[in-house]
Amino acid sequence: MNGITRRQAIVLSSTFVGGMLAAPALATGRAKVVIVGGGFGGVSAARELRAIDPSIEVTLVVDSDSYSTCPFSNLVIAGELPMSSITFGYEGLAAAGVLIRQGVATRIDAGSRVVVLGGGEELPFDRAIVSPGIELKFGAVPGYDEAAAAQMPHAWKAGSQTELLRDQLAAMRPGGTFVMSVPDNPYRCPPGPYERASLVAWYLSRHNPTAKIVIVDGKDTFSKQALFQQAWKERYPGMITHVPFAESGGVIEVDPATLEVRTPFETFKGDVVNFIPPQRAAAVATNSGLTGTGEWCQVDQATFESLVASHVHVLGDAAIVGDMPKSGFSASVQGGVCAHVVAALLRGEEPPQGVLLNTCYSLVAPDYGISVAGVYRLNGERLLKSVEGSGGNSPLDVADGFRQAEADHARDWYATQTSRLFR
Amino acid sequence: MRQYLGTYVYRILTIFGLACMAVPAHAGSSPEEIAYISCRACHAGQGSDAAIPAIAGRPAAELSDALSRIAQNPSDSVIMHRFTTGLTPTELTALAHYISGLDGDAR
Repeated sequence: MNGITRRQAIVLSSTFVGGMLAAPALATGRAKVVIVGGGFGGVSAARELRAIDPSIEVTLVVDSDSYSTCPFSNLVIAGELPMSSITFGYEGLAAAGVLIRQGVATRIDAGSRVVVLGGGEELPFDRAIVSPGIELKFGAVPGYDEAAAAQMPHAWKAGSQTELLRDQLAAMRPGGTFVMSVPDNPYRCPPGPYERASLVAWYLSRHNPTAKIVIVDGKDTFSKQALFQQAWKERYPGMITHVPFAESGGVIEVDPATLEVRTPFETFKGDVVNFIPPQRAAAVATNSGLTGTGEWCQVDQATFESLVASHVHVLGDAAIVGDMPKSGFSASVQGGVCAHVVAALLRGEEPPQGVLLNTCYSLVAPDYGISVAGVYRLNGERLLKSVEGSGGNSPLDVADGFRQAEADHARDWYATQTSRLFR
Repeated sequence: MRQYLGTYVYRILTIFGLACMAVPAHAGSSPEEIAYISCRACHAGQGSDAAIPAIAGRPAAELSDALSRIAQNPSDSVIMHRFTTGLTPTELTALAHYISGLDGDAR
């Protein structure tokens, strides 16, 4: 210390301060991260950021005071669970130090780094994490607008639509037909429609055993197809008919008044119609330009940072994240990883990297689970690719107890995940 | 005076430096920490009757042995084989050590 002169000290300290200023937002005051979306992705990111560094101010913008999960909502439709068991508040997050802002985020302005709320209020950010989910494309199929959803529920965002479909199913006439319309890829939760068909069959097999289910599909093949069809044959023989795109030509029109779903070759009339419309990234993403000229958000798959908006990270169903499917599991993992990325960037450091996993469990019956799993790793082109030789579906031939074990795993995952995120 | 000032500045710098050094304590998330975010989605539960075992804080050798056994045997697990085949043996060992070092009561 004898060697330090006043001049040297001044030079040293100014270099120091200069270095601090040039680098991270954290050093210049309390860094602000605004997270848009109160589902698996946003909540996971908020929790993780609080755990990594309590000095970061984390604001979570949610559009409701509670969140009903799409995972396990098919069990509600089948009458196996009450809505309350898949609905969670944000009190736990608030207790963990996350600032909860209830409102509708209408726009993310990357230029001035603010999230604009419905009332015009602006929330400034150093980094934003956007996990807003999907928008249902009402009007994409003639006849299916927002009003039609009251007659033909989509139930593809959990909540009152889930309850409406549950109630319609329970009230269906004996021997009636439950028609499902499923879109072409990509859409939220690729195996979800087929789990729904299975659990509706589970319900019908006990309460309305002469009823039928017809799935009018916008594609020819689907997730875990061989496993689903094996299970349908075994558990619900003759009850479920899957009509691939090649056979029907796809849905060209619906009539909510007559409960008809029309294709070029055939009209399907249901006693209950579950119409799952085509989808795109949520409106806030589209309105902020985050989807570019497409329908989904393109991101740098190493950091989730938007390719068109700097300091804005997008993940979950709204984004294209390599080979990862649009699932709650994927979104929660992406949210956790993105929190580490954002924390590192706020400190002026290199963002971390590591493998990401996904599992989509589907319940064919409460005691019969199947899954698809994946391991994802960045390649040299910064794309999150599925690792060859890993992941994949549950086996077709299994020992006794295996399907039960996967059903137990599904329930364990759900309990662990929702407890960690919301409680 | 000069010496006093030097000492004074040094102290300030030290405090400053320590404040900044406190940052790297939670910086530089390791590949294991990132991978564990996925593990935790299922394995962070505490219930003793759970189908999926809790893993945080378990002995490293136990975790490492289980992971390599599962990686080698497709029928020795419900789903884990499909994950372990996506990681190298070195990564699995490092992950086992990382998870072993976690607080078993924390989630």
